[in-house]
Amino acid sequence: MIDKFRDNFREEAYELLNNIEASLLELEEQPENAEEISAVFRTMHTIKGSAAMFGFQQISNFAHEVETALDLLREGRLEVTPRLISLTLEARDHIRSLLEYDSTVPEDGLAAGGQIIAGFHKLAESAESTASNKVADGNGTPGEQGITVAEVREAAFDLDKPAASADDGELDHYVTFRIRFKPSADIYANGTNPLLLLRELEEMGEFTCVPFVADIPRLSDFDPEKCIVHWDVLLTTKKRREAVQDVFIFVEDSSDVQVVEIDDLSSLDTGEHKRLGEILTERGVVDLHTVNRTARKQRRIGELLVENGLEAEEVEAAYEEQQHVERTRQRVQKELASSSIRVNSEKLDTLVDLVGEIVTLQARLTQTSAELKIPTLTSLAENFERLTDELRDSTMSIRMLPIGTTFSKFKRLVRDLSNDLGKEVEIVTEGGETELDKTVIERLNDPLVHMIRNSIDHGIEQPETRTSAGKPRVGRVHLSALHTGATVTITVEDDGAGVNREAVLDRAIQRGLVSPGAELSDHEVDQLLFAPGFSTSSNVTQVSGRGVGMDVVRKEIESLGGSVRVESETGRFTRITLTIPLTLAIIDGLLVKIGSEHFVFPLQSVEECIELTISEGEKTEGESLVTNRGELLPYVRLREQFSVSGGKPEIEQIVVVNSNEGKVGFVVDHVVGDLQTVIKNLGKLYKNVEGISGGTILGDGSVALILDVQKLSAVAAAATEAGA
Amino acid sequence: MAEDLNVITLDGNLTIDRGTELRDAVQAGLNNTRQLFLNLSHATGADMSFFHLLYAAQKEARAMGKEIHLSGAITEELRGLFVTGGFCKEAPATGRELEAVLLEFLPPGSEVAETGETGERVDP
Repeated sequence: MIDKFRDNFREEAYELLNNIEASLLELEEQPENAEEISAVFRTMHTIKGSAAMFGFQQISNFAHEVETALDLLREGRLEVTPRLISLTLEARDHIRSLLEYDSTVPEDGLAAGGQIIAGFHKLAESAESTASNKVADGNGTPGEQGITVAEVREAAFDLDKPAASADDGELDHYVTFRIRFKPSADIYANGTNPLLLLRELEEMGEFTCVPFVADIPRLSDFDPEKCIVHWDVLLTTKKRREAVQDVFIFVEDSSDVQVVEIDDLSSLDTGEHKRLGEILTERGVVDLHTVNRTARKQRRIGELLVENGLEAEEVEAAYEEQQHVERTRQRVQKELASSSIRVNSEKLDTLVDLVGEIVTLQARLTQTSAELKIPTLTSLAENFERLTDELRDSTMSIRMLPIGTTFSKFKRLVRDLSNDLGKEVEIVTEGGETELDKTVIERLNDPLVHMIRNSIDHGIEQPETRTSAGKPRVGRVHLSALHTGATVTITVEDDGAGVNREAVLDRAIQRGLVSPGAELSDHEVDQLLFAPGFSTSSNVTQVSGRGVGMDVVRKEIESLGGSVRVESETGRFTRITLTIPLTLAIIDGLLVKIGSEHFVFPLQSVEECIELTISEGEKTEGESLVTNRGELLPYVRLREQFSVSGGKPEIEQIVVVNSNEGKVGFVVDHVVGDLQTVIKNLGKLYKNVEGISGGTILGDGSVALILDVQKLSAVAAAATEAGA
Repeated sequence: MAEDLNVITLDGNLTIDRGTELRDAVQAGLNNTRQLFLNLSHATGADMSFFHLLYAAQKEARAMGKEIHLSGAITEELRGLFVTGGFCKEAPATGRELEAVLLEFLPPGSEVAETGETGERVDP
């Protein structure tokens, strides 16, 4: 059981660490962004607390040290510098590596942590000495960042010490306090500004403040050195009562300060908020008897009580309390309702499989009811179909994640790579909220890493080269995602030198991919980038040039049922566009028939369907070309491709699809119609059959094969080339 | 004879160390005019003593059967203080907005009743 909690903690911590990374990178661009500083601090604080709770003491201790440095940053005693960002990123990476250990961290792990903490100590010392130098001579210089072995040892030793306090007074739920603050009349005399105390409270949470000003005299009797106002404050916070009381620590002897907990938001089951009369009774400004007697008059209790001589301000304050409690309860309730739960992704996969079975079963039921023509059965089948559709959509949506989770990782990648290569590159992301199936997102990671690496290594030029070419010194990688129908388009574009087509062609000739003297279009040259093991880089760097790259990208994207397109203009840009299906589990398909066999085209690839008469077919016999919309369209006869027996009909259908090779037609006997296709794997034996990506079960229980249009298009292109 | 209208521009930090000076200036302004405008557009900061002053001045004006109004744009620094002190829920951008909010906190007519001077009394 404990292990399960620890696993949950790990999962949560990975997420928090990703958030820290994103905030740090944001902070690097906007060092003054106080919100991001607070976000990093808060997240580190959460990691520290949770780590201690789940027995990851060393993580907690380490996070505590980092938090201390971040606190200095928050207070403005440390500045956001590249060094600080790098150190904090290292700290983030270190915590991530510590998460892999179950209990005891080996010595080298501790030393690594010690190095980072010593770095923070140095930064803090340097900041302090700079500050004091500035005070002393008005001209401070930052200190050197050198760290001695002894300092590292000392810091590492600190990390191995038993628990640092992981509790700073935060509760795990909200409570509402009513704070009555009556400052003494001469509070100004000791230099206290009551507004600053109120501001401290304001920063602790949701804050409603009601001043009582009725006692202020008219100007002629007014002593500016006396404080006459007092306040009722309603504060909804996770801070403990002690923390709230501490705000008044310097004035509590001379002032009247009452802190009363009036609402606990850990359980919201009672729902009802207090009536105004109850609040006033609780505050002691009116007795229950008076309230009950007044309430019998069936008018607004507040108005009646004021008529009966109660201070209007007291009623106003009670009313504010009622509103505050109601408002915060609604907010917390909303937060609770919208909070998420963690579910193991395997369970989700099982759920999707089950939904797939139901979709298949529903198709059979619909078909059977159509055959039997029993009204009751037809009605049942229709209702079942509607519910199945909803169930399918809801289930698929559960698996959807915003692609922004992946995008944020690339900021770090760009930062590190550009530093390594001495380039200046910024990454701009767009459409991070676009949702894709979890599995698709996971599988997109490596291809995107390859593409971004290529952009930075091959695309973006050195800063000097850019400046002399009249470009901005800082290169830009633009990463965007856009949802279009059943697909998502992901684009990686850099404003670098573009594809060097001459070099690509030379390299292709050297490798025997193209015969010397061949004349290729720009598009054809660009396609060579996807040839296995192709690289124009003469140097193998850490980043790219190892000959593993775009071919792997293409293979991976195609295995996802997607496609890749490259566009480039020399000296201006390179743009790689990936088109990916939203999900891999259930797709919209186009069901076709050849003889007695059924096949499914992924609908996202289908452009149109046209007819092919026997005479047309005979006319182009041997050429496999047909004219469509004034253009020659190469086509493949699937009957021949899959050796389907039987005679072909007089009028055949050509399904025109969009592929990496351009438009290609596939000749089938009949187009049956669209089909919700639950994708089934074909198993090991058929895994490598070219042109087929999976199978699906039809309503009558028979199997239809799902076509891999990219592979089939490549076959068509090869056939056309051979014919030419 | 008292003038019909007078404007006092309050500038700089309106804090306790200027409390007496400000009180006397406003009092003199009220004595000499029927309508006194306090222009806040040059005020850069304040503490609680200034809020006291505003309320006290309102009460004084009512008791004297005169009017006191707030005018000018309120600086960013000053706006937040009105919210923190609970005097308004949203930071007022102008003196006119602030005036409308401040009046809510004064029980209508009580000062007038006590002093017996002219003015409209609104019974609760």
